[in-house]
Amino acid sequence: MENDIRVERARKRISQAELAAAIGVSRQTIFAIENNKFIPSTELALKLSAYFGKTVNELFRL
Amino acid sequence: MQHQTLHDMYNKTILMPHRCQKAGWVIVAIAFVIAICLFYSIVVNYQAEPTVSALLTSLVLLSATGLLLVCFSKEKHEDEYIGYLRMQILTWIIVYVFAVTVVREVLGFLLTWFASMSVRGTAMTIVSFLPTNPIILGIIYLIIFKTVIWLTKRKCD
Repeated sequence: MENDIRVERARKRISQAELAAAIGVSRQTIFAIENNKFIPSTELALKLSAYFGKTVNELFRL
Repeated sequence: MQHQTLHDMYNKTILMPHRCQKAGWVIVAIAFVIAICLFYSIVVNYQAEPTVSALLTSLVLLSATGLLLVCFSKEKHEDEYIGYLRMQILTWIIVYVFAVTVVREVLGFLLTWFASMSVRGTAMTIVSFLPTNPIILGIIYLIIFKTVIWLTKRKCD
């Protein structure tokens, strides 16, 4: 599963640490998701999509 | 019914609080010192049996308690990715235990036919006891878990 979190993060000009703090996870989690090493839970995917103001389908794709 | 998030559910696991990890490291350090004393008693000093036995018992108790605390207490930022890592490593350790069991049986069978009594005794002791000892498994788990977290942290920087 691919995602646009890195792109959206760059668009918002925030670091991995800032995104992690906003979502309530560790920086390693954001790194792992961005590099497709970890598929987040529905809850975390919803939090990310709400943070970036996008739908889950826009942020993540198969 | 109150809404329960995944985070809440994860926090209700058997993992102990993060402060237990620090206590665990202290106990592991004490166990390491006892291991050195034990080595010194057996190899250098040829101590009497009661001393060696007392040291061995305390080593096993302390290392088991320390490793349990270190391995199964929460990280500073315990989240679902860390939980995922724990599950992956534990799965691989179970695979490893099954593999060792198979190797042990095959080796035991072959040694029965091809090795002398002394070689067979030593080999079987090593193969049957060491690789699946809970303390060894704890050490393997700890090394892999901490290395993966350290590598991910390093890549983040």
